[in-house]
Amino acid sequence: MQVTAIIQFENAFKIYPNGAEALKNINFRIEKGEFVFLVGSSGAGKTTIIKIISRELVPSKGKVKVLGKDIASMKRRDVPHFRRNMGLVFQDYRLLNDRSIYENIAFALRVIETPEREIKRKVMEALDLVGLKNKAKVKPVELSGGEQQRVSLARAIVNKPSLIIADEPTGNLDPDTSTDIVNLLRVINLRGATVIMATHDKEIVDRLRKRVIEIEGGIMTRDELKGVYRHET
Amino acid sequence: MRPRTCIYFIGEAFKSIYRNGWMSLASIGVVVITLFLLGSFMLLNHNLNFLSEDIKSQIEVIAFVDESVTRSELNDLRVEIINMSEAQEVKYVSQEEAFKRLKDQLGEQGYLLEGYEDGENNPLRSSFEVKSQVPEDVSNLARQMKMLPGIDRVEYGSEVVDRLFTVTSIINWVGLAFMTALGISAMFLIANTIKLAVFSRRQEIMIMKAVGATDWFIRWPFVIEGLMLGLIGSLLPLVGLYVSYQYVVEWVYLNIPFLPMVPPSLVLNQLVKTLSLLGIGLGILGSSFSLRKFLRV
Ligand SMILES: Nc1ncnc2c1ncn2[C@@H]1O[C@H](COP(=O)(O)OP(=O)(O)O)[C@@H](O)[C@H]1O
Ligand SMILES: [Mg+2]
Repeated sequence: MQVTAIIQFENAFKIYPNGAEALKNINFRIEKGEFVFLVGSSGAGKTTIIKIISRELVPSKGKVKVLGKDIASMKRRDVPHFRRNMGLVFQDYRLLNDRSIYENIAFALRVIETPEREIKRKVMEALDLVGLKNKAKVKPVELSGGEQQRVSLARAIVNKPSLIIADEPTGNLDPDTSTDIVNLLRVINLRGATVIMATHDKEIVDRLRKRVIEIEGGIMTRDELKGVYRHET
Repeated sequence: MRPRTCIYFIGEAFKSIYRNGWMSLASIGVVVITLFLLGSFMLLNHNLNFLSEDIKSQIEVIAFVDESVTRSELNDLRVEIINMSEAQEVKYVSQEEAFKRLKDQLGEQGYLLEGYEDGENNPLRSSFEVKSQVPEDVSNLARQMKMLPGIDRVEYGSEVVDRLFTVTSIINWVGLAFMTALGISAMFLIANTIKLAVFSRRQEIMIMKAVGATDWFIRWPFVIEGLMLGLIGSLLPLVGLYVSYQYVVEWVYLNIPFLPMVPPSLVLNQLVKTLSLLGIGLGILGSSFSLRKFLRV
């Protein structure tokens, strides 16, 4: 059976302008509907991979295709519409503290010119999914870290993207809260979105037994279905 | 662009102006000063042109006739002047007539002239007053008449006009230099305000990029912010000059009736257009300068 690759790295390299070789010969395919952990210690190259997938960076060499588009040859003006098909989640939540939870999520829809009558329904649906419907009017600073990350998740999924990319979403959270966030990502995955999560949270990776792609020093050291954080410890 | 989006952009622009209050105020202030100066110069120039046209339309060359010229020579002179292509109207003013005019002008002080009436004692000369076809020909006409035998001296009003123009052009150059310097500082202040606005919104910009807002969607509020700063800055000089010019014209009309002023209806439309367009131009230039430099979207 021919499955469509959502993401495909072929002999991809990334060398930063200062000469740092962040990625060396990376090869992997991620199919539609997968849940993938991207693991590796700090400075391994996880964020670089994620930035290439979201086309914040382009590979220096090799080929990267995401959602059927070639990253290196994508035109600047096509990038915004390309990004509307993915939801990005960051370690630091990136919420706007001067407005309510509702407004934070509505903002993401407004700036891509979603018709106003659809905004309310979509925002409430997303808040419902992350279990924060009753906090719509609250400002981010009044929420716990876990709740803030759930808001940022709601913002990422509000436009129903087919791909969710989370860069260390549990990096600032305690283990229990981290579990909540990952469970939410699993729900989102079950509803059809492909999920990639960069992390160095060993416990979570080991417990979930999902696909693991491991990077160390810019080199891919492992790609395993139903993997754990480390083979031998 | 949807009207909703447009309203959103304008709202964002105003929020930003409010948030960077002091910088916005400084930008607007310099725009106000620049455009106030510019507007005043515009009005001054209009009036100086108007005045010189007025002077020119009245001017004529006065050629004073030498005492030794006889009556028949006088007639030859007259014919010669009439035959000049530039001359339109020639009027001979005799010594006696000149004396009478002067006496009329002096009015009550006319007694000062007592004893000078008679031919021998009359200090005034007879003259030809010549109007030219076009004002620009006056100096040419004057030169030709000066060369005629029997003409002692030639006077004409263009000298006044020429001097007026020299003074105006100096004022204009100095003013232009001033306004250019001010305009540039206004632009840089606006650019700096926009830079601050971009920095204070970097989180929003980052999120907009992440969720797929287009470059122009991100830029528009800042362009509009610059435009608004310029436009608001043009409003004050606009209203100020509009009102005060009407007041000045009225005052001059009542107090210096012989000084011609350009009627407000003829200049104010142009003033409004020029100042608001310049304000908007300064604003857009300032913000695009900053966007190119600080907003790599
Ligand atoms: N903008 C940059 N310029 C130069 N080097 C960078 C830049 N970003 C990251 N790097 C380097 O690239 C390597 C990989 O970084 P990164 O992808 O952020 O790792 P991770 O997310 O796994 O911690 C590191 O050695 C880092 O120092
Ligand atoms: Mg990282």
